[in-house]
Amino acid sequence: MFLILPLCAAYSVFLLCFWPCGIMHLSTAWEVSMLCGFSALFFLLTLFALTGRPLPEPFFDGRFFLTLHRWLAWLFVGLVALHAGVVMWVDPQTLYDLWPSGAPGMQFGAAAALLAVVTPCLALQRVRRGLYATAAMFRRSHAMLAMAVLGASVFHVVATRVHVALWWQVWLCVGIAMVACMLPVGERWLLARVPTRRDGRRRRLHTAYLARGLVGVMLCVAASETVVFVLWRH
Amino acid sequence: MAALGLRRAMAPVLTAIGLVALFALLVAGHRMTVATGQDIPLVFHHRAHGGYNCVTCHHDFLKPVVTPATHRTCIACHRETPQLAPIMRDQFHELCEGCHLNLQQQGRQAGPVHECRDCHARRPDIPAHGRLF
Repeated sequence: MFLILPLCAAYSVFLLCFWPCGIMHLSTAWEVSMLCGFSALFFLLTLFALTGRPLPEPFFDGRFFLTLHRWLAWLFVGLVALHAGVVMWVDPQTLYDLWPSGAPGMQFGAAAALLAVVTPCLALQRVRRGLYATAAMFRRSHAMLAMAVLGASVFHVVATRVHVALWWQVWLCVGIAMVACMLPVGERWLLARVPTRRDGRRRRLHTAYLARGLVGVMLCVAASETVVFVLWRH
Repeated sequence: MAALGLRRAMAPVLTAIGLVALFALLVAGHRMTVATGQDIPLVFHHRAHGGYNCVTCHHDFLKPVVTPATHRTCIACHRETPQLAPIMRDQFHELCEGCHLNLQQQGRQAGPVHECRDCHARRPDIPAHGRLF
């Protein structure tokens, strides 16, 4: 459970950076939807940091990071569905933006949502084995799809200008996305060069349940921070 | 079997082509249709804006403009002027939303900011000011 505290802290800092600037009297449903969107973006970024790819000499055994990556991905998809669903429910006029003449920011958001559903579906074991000849091909294809989701999401966040409107917020958002794109390669390169310290500890087996627990905790943190933020704003 | 193997080996290339096609389609579709987009209902409470300087919105009072528009309404003029039609949505959003946001940031009462239904709705109590696309 060594990841819970950094993840919760990063989540809070992320929301604080993008949320409270500018006074906007939005309805509760809109605030909830926007928070779901920001939470989804945060979990998308964590997917770049916590990839399921094992190191050449893994520190931890089992399927911890693989399970964590998979569950975080489903959490991300769920939050995207909630974000889009709530806005469409309270403001069906947003559906006009799905037409080609709609606002580009919203269209890229719709494309990101579509790709966000397609990407984990293509990563399902049965589909993956049928579609890709080797693991490397799957990885390249998955990385391209993930970067497309991230790029389209950041464009959606910046172009719709609901909360990210100040210049430093825009650059921070773009910068975080660029760092996230380089993170899987950089992180692997760095960790492969750090000497492994086992301190006589044995590798722990069967850690998948810990990953599920961590995602459950993150879901609770996201839900409780949503409530706190909405109460604070109203 | 060989075709299946080739397709599986080409998966990353096909993904890249698919992504480029998707985003190219979005951009091209938008550029082709933005000037002729579809109607979205719009209400504007003219009386509620009586306290503001008329020329804030009616810029043609001070500087007459030449337009091919057949109707002398804000929306018709912008919509029927070829140079303005593609940027009309952004211009109107900037004008209305920007002003409301400024007022909100000053802690004053203001109109809607981001919630679509507050402006883009059919309201029986307010006569429709136009149809925006």
